[in-house]
Amino acid sequence: METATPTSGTPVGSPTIPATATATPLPNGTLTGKVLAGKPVTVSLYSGNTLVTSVSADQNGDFSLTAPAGLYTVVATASGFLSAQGSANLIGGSTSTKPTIDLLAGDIDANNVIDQFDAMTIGMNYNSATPSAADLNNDGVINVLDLELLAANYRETGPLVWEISYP
Amino acid sequence: MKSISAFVLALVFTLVMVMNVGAQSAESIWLTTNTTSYKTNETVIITVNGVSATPIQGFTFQIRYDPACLRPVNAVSTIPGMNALPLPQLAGQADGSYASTTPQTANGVLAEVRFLALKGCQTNVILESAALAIRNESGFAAPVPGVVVDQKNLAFTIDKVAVAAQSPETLTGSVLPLTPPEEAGPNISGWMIALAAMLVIGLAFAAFKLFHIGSTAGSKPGTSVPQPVLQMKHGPNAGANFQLNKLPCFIGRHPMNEICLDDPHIIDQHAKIFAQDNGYYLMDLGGETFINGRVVRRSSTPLKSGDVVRLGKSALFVFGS
Repeated sequence: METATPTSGTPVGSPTIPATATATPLPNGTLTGKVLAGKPVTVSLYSGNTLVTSVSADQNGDFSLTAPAGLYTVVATASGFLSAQGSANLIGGSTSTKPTIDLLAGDIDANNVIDQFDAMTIGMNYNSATPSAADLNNDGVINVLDLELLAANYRETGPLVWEISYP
Repeated sequence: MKSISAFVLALVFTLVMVMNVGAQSAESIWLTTNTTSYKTNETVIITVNGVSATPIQGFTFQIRYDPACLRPVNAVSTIPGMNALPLPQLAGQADGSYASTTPQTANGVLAEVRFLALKGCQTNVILESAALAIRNESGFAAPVPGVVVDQKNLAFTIDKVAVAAQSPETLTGSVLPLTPPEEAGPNISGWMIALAAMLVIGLAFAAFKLFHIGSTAGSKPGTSVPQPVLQMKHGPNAGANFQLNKLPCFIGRHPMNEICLDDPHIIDQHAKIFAQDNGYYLMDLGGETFINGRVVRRSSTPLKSGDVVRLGKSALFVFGS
């Protein structure tokens, strides 16, 4: 008895593509916005759980990402801060802009909650420079200024909701 | 016969050793108190105890209490090097955390927690959660595994007979304030609401008249509120208090500002504080400005007493009005 054996990498039941056909790439869309944090910010686009692209925001928090048109999850992260997450619908040939968002300082261990263990990390590393995630104001030393920042956001949880963008 | 005796002795010895090892490895946290009977206005003292075979670099506890019966005052730890971490409190929960830069032995008292007995009542305090912490290889605080929370509940009887208000004790160790947030009054009856409403209307009318007269007389807005003060906590001029006699008050590195802060991370004209509608506001003028950890960018934000303002990387002050 014969059994169908799918070709590796090709979904079963996929139509046969003529050898002369060329795939037309989807037009790119652009996503811009501003993420405010006291430390360097990375903005990433995900399709499902797959990272599509990421970029570092500039010193003002401004970023611009380009990717094929489609619906994505956009995530903004900064070391020691609660991340922000939202959706982004990129339309080919046009630019969408996410609303400006402030990341909250204090999630030093990156477990999506600003809690006692984050505060204790500051206390255990007082007057030192590492771990850098505990240096919330990015001044090179972990001290009361970082604890002040954390205290302002104590008990907050993430990821922060980043509103839907409109083209 | 000798071999049987030797076997029994060896068995007993092994059992004793196992039991001892078990006792030493039993990491635990529990509450104790010397007495469970107090009078109104007395200080209720609860001890948070902990044992760990591994030296610790931090501990945390969250104690549930009835805010109608008790008011938390502070916690004190006498473990050398263990420093209090002041964090915002919740009504009904005394939330304490301590940390040390070096490992410390935990074998007994971690901290004493003080409450004020408010009135005659029967009440329980409950150790809602607690942990001992170590510093892991990456430098982050991590819980000591396997810590058992014993004796979570203590029952107290507070006599309605009040003693004279006690003067604050002189405490030795690292003191952690546990001041609860201000709460709305409990169960206000209808006539009290009406009375309060009349009072508010009267005050609003008086304020309106005052403001109106002040405006027509050409006074600056905000002159009816007390003079605010900036208490410099960190950075240039740390420890100094600035009374804001003149508003708006400009803050920056340039000497022409009302408050000049010589800090490379502060721009020439960094921020200003101004009065409007009987309140105070801080406006960022293009520098790096945070109020209670939140960024302020080229905009105005209301200031309230106790707000922590950071300018640049190091200048930190507390606003008071």
